[in-house]
Amino acid sequence: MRVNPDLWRDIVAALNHVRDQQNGYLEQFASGRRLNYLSEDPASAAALVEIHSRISQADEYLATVTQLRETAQMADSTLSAVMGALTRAITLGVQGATGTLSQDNREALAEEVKGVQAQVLSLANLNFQGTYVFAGTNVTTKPFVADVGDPMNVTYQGNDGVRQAEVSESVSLAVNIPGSDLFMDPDTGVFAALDRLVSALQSGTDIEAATNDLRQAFDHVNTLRVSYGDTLKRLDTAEAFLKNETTAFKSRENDLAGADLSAVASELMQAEQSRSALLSAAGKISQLSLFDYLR
Amino acid sequence: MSSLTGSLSIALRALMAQQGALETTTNNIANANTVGFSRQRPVLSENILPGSQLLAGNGVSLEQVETIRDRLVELRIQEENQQDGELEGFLAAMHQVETIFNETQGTGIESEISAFFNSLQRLSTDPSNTSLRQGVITTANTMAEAFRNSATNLLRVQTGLDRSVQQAVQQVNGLTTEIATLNARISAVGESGGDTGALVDQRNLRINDLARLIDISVVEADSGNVTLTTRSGGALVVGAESFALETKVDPTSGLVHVFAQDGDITGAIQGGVLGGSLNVRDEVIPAVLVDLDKLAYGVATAFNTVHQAGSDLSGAPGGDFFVPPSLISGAASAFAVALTDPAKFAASSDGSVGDNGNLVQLLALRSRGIADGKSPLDAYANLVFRIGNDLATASAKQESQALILQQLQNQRSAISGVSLDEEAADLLRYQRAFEASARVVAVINELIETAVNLGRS
Repeated sequence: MRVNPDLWRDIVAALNHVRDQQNGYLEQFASGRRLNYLSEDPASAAALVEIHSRISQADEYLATVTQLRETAQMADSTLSAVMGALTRAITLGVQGATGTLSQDNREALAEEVKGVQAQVLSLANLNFQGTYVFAGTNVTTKPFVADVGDPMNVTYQGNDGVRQAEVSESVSLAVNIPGSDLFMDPDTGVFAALDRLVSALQSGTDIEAATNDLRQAFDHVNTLRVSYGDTLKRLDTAEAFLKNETTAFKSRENDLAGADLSAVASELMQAEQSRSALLSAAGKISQLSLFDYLR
Repeated sequence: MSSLTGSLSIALRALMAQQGALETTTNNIANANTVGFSRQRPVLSENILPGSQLLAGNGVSLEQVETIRDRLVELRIQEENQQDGELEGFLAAMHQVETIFNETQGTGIESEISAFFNSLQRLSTDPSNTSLRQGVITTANTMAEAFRNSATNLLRVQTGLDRSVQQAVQQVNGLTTEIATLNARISAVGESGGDTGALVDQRNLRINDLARLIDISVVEADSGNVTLTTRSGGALVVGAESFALETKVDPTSGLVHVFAQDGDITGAIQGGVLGGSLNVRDEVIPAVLVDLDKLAYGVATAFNTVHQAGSDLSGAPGGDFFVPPSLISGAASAFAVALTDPAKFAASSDGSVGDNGNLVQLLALRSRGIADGKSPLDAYANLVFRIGNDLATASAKQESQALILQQLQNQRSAISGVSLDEEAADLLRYQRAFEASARVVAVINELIETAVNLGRS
């Protein structure tokens, strides 16, 4: 049986194959990625579409958390100031309730309470980064307006809308507390209580009752303020979760697409060894034929 | 009755026969590296004197020069070349498609879709913020542009394939003309009893080249001619006549179609480079475009529906966010943003400026089955997978195809290839036989001289 007299075709094909492999490994080394084309691993490439999206989504959620935290901290410190002002007004009410004050003294106290009300009004109209924080969802309209003729009479121009924001796939947080809840509650409204206290001081009657109303208003604001504290805690939890998620996704991405450089380096070495072995074997193949021996 | 002159003529005929054999061997050695050469063997046969009473023969003559080839192996090589050519054409075209959707680096359509939804998420904490609203419009425009670009690039690959189809058809026509000419020469030489080995070798090379371009059926006629037809039966070469293929632009698709004698054969071409390229141009790329269109259509339509249910900064109901696509077909090329005024983006669901209810609905579309029943990113991931998978399968097939072809070539080489050792040994044999016959001539010459000078003293 005759054998193929032409050995070089196979040798060249084998050399080309090894060279191909080497090129593949070099490309992985240079780019640091195992996956440079869809066809290298189509299933991983498809999975990467999802993973890349989730990574960027998690980043955006983290930005949302930061934004919400700023807003919540601002609102919380403002309410803290409101409560400070209310405490001052309560002190004034207590002073006014002592029976030994004259009409003039009580008028003076009433004026101070009016000053506190003006302070609270300005705090309630807090504008943060261009929007009114305590206006519900009417964020471009100043929510609390004092009557020109009767500045103690405050009307609310906002609404009771609450905005929700997603901080992760299934977690939404309320972004705001409407001013209607905070300051205009029919039983424990802050402005109404302040108004009553001023009238009581001016008339000299029911000062203690008015002061108690003010205490209730203070408690109401305090209770609602706690929810901002809760929000801040939930934001911290969300942030920790998102950071973990991001790490997990990035590690998965690396598994799918990143090149294990030490493995690639050793494969490259092996390919280089095959190549030299092939070349030296090919070199040793006798170039002689019968012609060289016929003399 | 034997005679000296009889012996002389036997020796002379032997000289000529051995010379012919030497020539054949020399030809083999000369063509040791010629591509497609099949080695030849001199067939020396005994001359028989009809009705002779003598036992001695009448010398040797070179009856013919036989070309050693295995027709079956050659036919198999032609078949495998068709497959190999088809994979070559398919892979070259598909790699271009792969580049358009290379998501391994994370910089393709997925990143634009994600950026768009992320900009909606950013707006949700501060819905009345004008620059964030503008951000939504900007990312939407970038996303739409990415879709349009991909569609354009796919169409560009199609028209590029048009050019390769035309070039391939030109090559086919050139080859069929050459094969027809060779057929004619082979018939002529065969009839006059000559050796057709070299011509048949050349014809086989041409047929192999042709098989790489288009799928063909090969039928051997008894006159030594070969009839070539396309798989669907259209004639390419019959005897000394060749039938050219034509290319014409099809009015409905705007793409080039291939015509044989019996009509449009574009759909019937399955093998060779033409088959592979046409498969990508007419099946694969349109399927990818359909998926892309479905995705664009789904996103635009669903988004518009939700957008229209909300209200903008002035409390007016939202209009179209994207330009509403009229059909699924072409939706990707026409994907565009209709909204230009950030104030008209409908984020609110109750009319108030700071409400983000509608925005939350829009964000929910990210995981809803709006693109042919799948979420936008799922649909896109499927598209990416299909392209990569088709390519990976074809690549694997080509590797094994290359091995099969290599094995067949080795087999052919084993049968028809020139072995220098063998030729060296043959050279020796014929050389010795020639020397011996020449010696015989010399001896007989002496004998005749002796006989002629018999009467001399």
